[in-house]
Amino acid sequence: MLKPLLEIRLKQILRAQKGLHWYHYIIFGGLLLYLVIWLYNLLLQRNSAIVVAATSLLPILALQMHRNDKRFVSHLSHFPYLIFWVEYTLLLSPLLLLYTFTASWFLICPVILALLPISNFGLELPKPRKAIPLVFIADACFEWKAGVRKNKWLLCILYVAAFALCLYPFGSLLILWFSTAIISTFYQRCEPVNLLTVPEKGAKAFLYYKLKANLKQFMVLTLPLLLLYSLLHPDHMVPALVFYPLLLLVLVSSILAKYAYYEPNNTVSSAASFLNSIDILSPLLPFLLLFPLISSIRNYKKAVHRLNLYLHDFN
Amino acid sequence: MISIKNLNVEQKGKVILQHLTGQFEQGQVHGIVGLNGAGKTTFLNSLYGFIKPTAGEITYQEKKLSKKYISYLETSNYFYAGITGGEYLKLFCKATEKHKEWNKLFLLPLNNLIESYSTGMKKKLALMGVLLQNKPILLLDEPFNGLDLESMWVVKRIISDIKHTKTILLTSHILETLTDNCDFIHRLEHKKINQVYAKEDFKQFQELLYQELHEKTALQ
Repeated sequence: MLKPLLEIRLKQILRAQKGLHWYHYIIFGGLLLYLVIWLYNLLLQRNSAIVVAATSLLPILALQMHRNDKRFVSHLSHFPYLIFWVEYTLLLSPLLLLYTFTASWFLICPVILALLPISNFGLELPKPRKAIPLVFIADACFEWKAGVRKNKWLLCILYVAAFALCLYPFGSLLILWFSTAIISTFYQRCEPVNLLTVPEKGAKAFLYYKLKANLKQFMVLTLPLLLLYSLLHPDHMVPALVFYPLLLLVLVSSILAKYAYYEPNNTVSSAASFLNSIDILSPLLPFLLLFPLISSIRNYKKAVHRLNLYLHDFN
Repeated sequence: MISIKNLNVEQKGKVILQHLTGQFEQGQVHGIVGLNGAGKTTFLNSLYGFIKPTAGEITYQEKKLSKKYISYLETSNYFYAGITGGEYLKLFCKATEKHKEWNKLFLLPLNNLIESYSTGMKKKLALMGVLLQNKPILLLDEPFNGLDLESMWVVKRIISDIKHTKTILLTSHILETLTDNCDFIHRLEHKKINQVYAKEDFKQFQELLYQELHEKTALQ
């Protein structure tokens, strides 16, 4: 059973690459090399190696909590958690391989063992019926309502941690970036056409309305944090004020990417999501700074063209 | 009035509608009837603008028909996952609480997530979304699918209450739901509207249709 499932995963990965051009591979190759070198240097220090090992388990836990094929896999196998465990071990294998070249190689074993309980976690999670009311989110920002509900615990922890870490330099900014990365995933699902036509606006006006509502929502929730950070670290005010617009730009590029590749009731293509991940990384990697700006301009043109199919009557 | 002249629609090189001509008066309910694959949904999609006709003209009050005037209930209803029924409806209300009034009829658990709704509840929710838009033209593709008896009765009552100010086009596989609700039935056959039956001819139409079906199945 494991072999056909892994073959399906491989096909999914290959399918996800469709739509990428050669220059995307060069960018990703460069990015990957940079990350590997950075990570390797980090793993050379014992404490950092332990933190990285523990942190690497968090996305796996999030993946296990949210994957919707758990029931399907449990129908196929009597030991579904073993299938998940193999998948997660394979997913972490590049990182585990890096550990073998460091003095912290002994962490490989605990990481693999820790994947066992994670793989068994929440196999029969009941689907919630009642929803928590989110009064602090505007009615028009339905992506936020859905996204916050999906990631409620993670976002809650991050939000509290961001305020708590305001005392330390750059801690809050890093969490703000990570939260923005999560928020940008809110725009991966396309709404049905009847929601698209609700504002009764042409393509350009619709994009302006959408960007305005969503950026406002982001600013309402994050500006207090930025203000507090700037007050506690006045010497960091300038870097913080440079960093914040970059986060806004990441959000803009995520929203525009959704409408550039808009398909009613579908998720945005994997290739588009892949490209969006470069935008998300850009505030941390100076050589990628221009990337979200370029992709926003490109995606804006594409989005206007794409939305005209559905909204031309409102022009 | 919606007026259609010589409408041609093709999909993937296949002609679905050809030289379709018809008129749909305001203040009346128009049923569209046809066998599977006759092109009912394609016809409604063309009216809404999902499909661009290859030829022909569709006008409303002598102007080009536009989405501005239409609310469309599609056969399959898609919702944005992770939001509640109330949040979905609020998007159509423009900061009013009108959806709560409509819900007195439908009794949906508006604070629950939409994905926890049954098929019939989702249909009712989609229908409420369509009604809340308050547009002059309603396109209802299979509005009775998945509804229980009580909800069917409610929908029937709503259609009869609002029809005076609107043009309503609806399709159904159940002939009785059309004969009960419609003022006219337009028969879609051979890629065009072949016949239009007024209320007084419904009985005759029903007999004719059943006779045709009987003959068709007897041949097989």
